[in-house]
Amino acid sequence: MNIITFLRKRILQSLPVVFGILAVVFLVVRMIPGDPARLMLGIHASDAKLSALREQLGLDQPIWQQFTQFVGHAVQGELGTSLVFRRDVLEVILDRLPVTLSLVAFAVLLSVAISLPLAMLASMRQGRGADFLVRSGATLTLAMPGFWLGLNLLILFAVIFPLFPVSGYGKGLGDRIWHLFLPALTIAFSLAPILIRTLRASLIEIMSAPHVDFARTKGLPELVLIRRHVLRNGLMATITILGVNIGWLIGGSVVVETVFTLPGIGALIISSVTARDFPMIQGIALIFGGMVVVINLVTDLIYAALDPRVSYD
Amino acid sequence: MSLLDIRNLTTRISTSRGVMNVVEDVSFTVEPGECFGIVGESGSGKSMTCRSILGLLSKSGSATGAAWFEGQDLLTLKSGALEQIRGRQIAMIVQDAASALNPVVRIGTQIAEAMVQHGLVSSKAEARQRSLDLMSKVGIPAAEGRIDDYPHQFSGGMCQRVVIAAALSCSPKLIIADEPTTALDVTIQDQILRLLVALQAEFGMSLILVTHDMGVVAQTCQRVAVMYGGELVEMADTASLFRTPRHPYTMGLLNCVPHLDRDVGTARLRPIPGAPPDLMNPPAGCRFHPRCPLANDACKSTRPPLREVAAGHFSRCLRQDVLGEEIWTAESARA
Amino acid sequence: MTSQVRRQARPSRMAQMGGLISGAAILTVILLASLLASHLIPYDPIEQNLRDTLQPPSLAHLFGTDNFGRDIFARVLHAAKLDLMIGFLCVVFPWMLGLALGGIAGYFGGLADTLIMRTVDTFTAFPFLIMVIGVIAIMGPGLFGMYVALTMAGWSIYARIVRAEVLVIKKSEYILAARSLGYGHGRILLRHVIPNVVTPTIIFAMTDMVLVILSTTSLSFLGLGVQPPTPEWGVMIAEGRGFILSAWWMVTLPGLAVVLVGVALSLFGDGIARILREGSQA
Repeated sequence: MNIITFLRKRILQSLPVVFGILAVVFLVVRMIPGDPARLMLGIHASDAKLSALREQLGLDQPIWQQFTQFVGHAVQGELGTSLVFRRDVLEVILDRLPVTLSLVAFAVLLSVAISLPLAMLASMRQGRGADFLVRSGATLTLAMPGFWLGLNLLILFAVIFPLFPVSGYGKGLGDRIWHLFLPALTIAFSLAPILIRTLRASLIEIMSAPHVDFARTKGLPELVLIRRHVLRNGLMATITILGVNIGWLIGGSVVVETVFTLPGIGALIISSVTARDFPMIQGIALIFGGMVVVINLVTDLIYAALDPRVSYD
Repeated sequence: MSLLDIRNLTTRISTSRGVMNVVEDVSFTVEPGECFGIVGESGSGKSMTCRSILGLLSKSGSATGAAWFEGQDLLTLKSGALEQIRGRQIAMIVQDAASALNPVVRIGTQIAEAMVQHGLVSSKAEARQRSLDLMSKVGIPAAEGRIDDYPHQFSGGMCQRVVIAAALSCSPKLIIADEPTTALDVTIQDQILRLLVALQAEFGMSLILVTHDMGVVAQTCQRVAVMYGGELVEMADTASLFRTPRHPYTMGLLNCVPHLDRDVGTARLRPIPGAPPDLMNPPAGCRFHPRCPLANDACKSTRPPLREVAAGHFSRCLRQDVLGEEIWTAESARA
Repeated sequence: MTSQVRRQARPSRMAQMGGLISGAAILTVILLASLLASHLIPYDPIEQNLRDTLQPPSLAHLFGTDNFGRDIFARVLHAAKLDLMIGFLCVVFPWMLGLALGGIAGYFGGLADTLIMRTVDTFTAFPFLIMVIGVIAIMGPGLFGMYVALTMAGWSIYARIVRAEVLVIKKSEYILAARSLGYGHGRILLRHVIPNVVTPTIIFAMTDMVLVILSTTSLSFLGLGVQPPTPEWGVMIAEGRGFILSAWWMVTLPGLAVVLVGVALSLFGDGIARILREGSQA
């Protein structure tokens, strides 16, 4: 039982899901009524281009062969050519992926920074005023659409009080952080209610655990107790919750990138759908699906590394 | 001068159904170097008494009375002062040792925690060395290799040894052991008890041993208190209590244990009929009267005080004159 | 009686009921208002009135007017009808689909189970919004596309819940009794299994409805759902986006309607969930 075996095992377990993702994306595009080549190239495409694409996609071949070809290409990184950008799909995606990744990472950080203290406060003052306030705030925030929240933040902090830029990605690390702050905050606010709710429940459970009680008999003050015997155990819960909700984060990035005009893959998928750029849509769907699989794997790995009870077998 | 002097300790718990007195007017002393036993069923208030002493009640609990320890009334201390005493002067050993240890923190850290908190060690190395010494002292073999392990890698008995090591770490004057062997196998139970007694003698500490097992008490304690329904019903030195019990409940408890010389051939256990009292609405008068074969009108109406019925032997029973060995035998013969 | 007292604060019965009742009350009010909208507010939600564009909130126009001079409050009320209906239907459809497939998977096991659950795994691998967008990409933007997309993205979680419950129920006494009496699978499924596994799904459906309404407004905002000029909260906010600097009320106020509905649903849902949970534990 070591890391390599663990990784190997988890990767093997993910393969069916990866296969499923490839299958779904492949089938979904083929399910559109009409000629896929014409769909991809548009109504005005020439016959020559159409037959070239048909041959490239192997549309005359049996479906199984098409699928194998598709998977083969996908694995090699050949995801087709974008109709809008006239460039390799993977290239365009990789250009814009860092924006989305930075946004999501920043959002996770902010989200934990907001949620952890509030969850701690609510759990320590369970049943009292502060707890009620925190939980009401969470219910309220949960009902707010992300794009509306983002727009309101824009209005408040970029228009009425011009503290932050209205749109764009910026240049250089500091400038980028400044540009990403409001977008990341929007996503963080969307995730925080879920995080706070679950974390609070975990912390309450941990705080009444026997090991906290025993540690108290040693004369440890409340703060040391919380730090060493509650938070450390609560960390596991946080990571699990974050891992489970990663889809929410990614979905949030789509909306937020549109609101704040960030050049990430979230905004890209929207524009691709509106423009019917199928190779791009296909490519992004694959990348997103793959990202979720990888993140779940990484979450499992981090969890195993942190919890000494979990062995690597 | 007693080490611990508990006077009229009463502990109240508020629940959604009302207030209940889980400990009612309990008084006893513990001398330096003494092993004092507290015996009773689940719900008799013995654990609550211990928690009240150290101020470890939940938000819905409160204690009145006095708990004198080294010139201070523990019940009047604020949390800061209590934290100084916990672990350092008075330590606690809990029942379920495996759950009492934090699963994601190493054993060594958990043993050294109290020492570090109370400033008894000046460096990590010193803390580690002291932990190793303690581990050897409590009988954990190959301590050096195990100090960095996690609790799930230890058996139940070993976990209990770790808990004992942690409790000993600051050389406290008093250790309160709340059912330390209940969750263990009988063979391990014996080992742990012997260990506790040996350590007690070596460190010169006092030990309060809380248990429901009369056999444990007989083996280890110099003096015993019997609790029932939140009250202290009998208290004496161990030998006297076992030889001449002066309360029907104590007699019933002793009777429950099968005797090879007496019970061979009858194969009938002799439990005390009835059930423990509902502390929300305790019986009037003596709390044991509903189950007592000797109960008379006085027992049912007046709350009996704790009186010294023989030298150093206290009892709440009003019916001292009719106490005899046969009260339970006749009863169970009838049943 | 245990000597360990746990620190547990139980919210009073009144507080629990209060949440349920206020949630239900708010929803009823909104529903009624939306249905009677044309009678309550004299303004037409679609007709343009170019003399009164971009008016701030006032007594004449509670929520102000938009860039076409349309009364925003009237539009918000009319939009309520659409959004609530979509919210309801796009929970009911996935619920039915998930119930059916999850029930079959759990009850029959074997190949059906494997096939269905692998499909569920694949569907849940995609982030919800991405899957929805993907389906809309194929169906084309619009109301119908959104229905299909939300149903396809939403059924898998119900299937999972139902299957888990069915696996437990399958082993219970009365199912075995029904089988021994010779009841056919169909009858057992419909009459005995499904009614007993429904409770957790309803509890989940309450939270799901909030999520669906949020998704609906998001999709419409992005131009992938309901299309303008149909009044819908997301569409209205999108229209207001270009006027952030001059008319903040176009963005902020319709959003408040969404929040209000979301909070009401949460309160109501939590209350129902608590009642159902206590009922099933009794």
